[in-house]
Amino acid sequence: MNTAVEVRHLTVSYGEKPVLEDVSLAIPRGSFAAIVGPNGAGKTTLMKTMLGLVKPLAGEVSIPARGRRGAVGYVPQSESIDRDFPISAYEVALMGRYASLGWFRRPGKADKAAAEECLRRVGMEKFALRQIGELSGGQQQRVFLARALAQDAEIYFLDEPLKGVDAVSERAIISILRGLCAEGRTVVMVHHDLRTVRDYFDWVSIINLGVVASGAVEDVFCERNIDRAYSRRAAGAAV
Amino acid sequence: MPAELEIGLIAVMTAASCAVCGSLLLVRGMTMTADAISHTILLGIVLAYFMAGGLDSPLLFLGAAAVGLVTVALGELLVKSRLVSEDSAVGVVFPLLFALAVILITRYASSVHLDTDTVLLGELAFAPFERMTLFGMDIGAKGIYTSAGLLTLDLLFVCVLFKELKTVSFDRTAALVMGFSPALLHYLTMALVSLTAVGSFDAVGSVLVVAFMAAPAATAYLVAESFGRMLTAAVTAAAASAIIGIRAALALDVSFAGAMATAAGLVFLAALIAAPKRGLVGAYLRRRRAGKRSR
Repeated sequence: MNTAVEVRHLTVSYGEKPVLEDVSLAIPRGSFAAIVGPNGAGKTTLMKTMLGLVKPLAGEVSIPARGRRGAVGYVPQSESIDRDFPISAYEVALMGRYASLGWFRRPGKADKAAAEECLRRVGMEKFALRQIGELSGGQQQRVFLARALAQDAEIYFLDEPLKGVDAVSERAIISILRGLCAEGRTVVMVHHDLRTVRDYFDWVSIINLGVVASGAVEDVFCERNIDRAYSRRAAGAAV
Repeated sequence: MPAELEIGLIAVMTAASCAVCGSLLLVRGMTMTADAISHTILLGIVLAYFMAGGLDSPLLFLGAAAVGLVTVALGELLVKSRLVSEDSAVGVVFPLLFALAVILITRYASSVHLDTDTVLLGELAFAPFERMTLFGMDIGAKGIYTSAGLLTLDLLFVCVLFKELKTVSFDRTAALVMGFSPALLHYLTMALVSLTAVGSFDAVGSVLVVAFMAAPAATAYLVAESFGRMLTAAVTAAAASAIIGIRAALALDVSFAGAMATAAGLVFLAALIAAPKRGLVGAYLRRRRAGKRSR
């Protein structure tokens, strides 16, 4: 298997209680992968550790693409964004080009054209000059997706990009992400809606503190694995 | 150059550099830090004074800027303990360092011209008395050169690091993933804020430093839709407040610092009422229109 991300024996904790315990999994290149699990299962932490934003207590992460600047793209959870910040949709999209520019260099004509093109791809070109806070949740997510597209990364990490998003935006986002995978890029996404896993993704990692199952959707996304992930927490809560 | 013009120049340039720093602080939700730094740098001045043995040494400048950084670093150390929030951490650190400075001054330097009043309430009206001389020639008030130097430094900083500062202030995680070190940018910014505060102290005093780091940036935040426009709007608001304040002070025969700080507050109030999108009037009209439509 040609892997895009691999984590081995990952343990992460904030304070005394572990959030992730001995997590090992691999995601193949070109796949559209979901990370699912109940609330507090450690999905966001797993993603942040993969990105190097959280230091694990033990274990390692390998992302072979990481050598090049900007090869790893990230779309944060929408709540983590300051909606009052004075920045336009276009400027957010242009930010995607900054990764490959590196320090000090300014975006040129080609970068600006790319940012505009990416806004068009997500259907947000009419809102280019709007301040980010004036857009709806779904529109904001599309702008962040445009930023990710502008980055031209090989692997994308998205943290619940469909949360609080209208149906039109959800369809647009999914079709664009599928397009990225068709080009051989990898998309890893924290997802909360179990009903759509089978329709959207080809790879899924079900986690809850540890890995419950990880593999192709048709192989591992079955009732037994889902029950194991979601009832383990319920059992723990009852104690 | 007439004294009024010199005072005006110093005031406008100092106000503008404070506004640039203030904008960088505001977008990170750190305006309180301006207040903290403008007090704790006194400790740096005192310590540097003991080492240098005089008030004219450049050591004073460096010492003050260094303590500014120490303030931020200590605050962050407290935040990392997860026991206090960011705002309270700064609030805990700065009275400690400031009090330490006051004790040192009263205990060991009470005979020197280094009491809190002179350091905290720099007097713009006296700025033209301190002359800069080159080969024995008078080339203008000293304050003009320090404030111009600071303004150049501040503008250069935001121009060169514009996209990096914008990225890290808007989305810290994305900056980290893209390889722009948030910690490095953070400390560079804090160093700049400290330097600007120290330099402006001399010219306008700390009350004005705090006023001009807070008010013009807040004004700009209400009217600007992009980061670049916010910076220009903040500088414009600061310069306008300075000019209005000086005019008012001369006309009413009141203190420059008081009039300028009041002007900065009034300019903010005007923006709060009349800003096109986020102003009170705009919001009221929008609500009324929405109400009519739904009827």
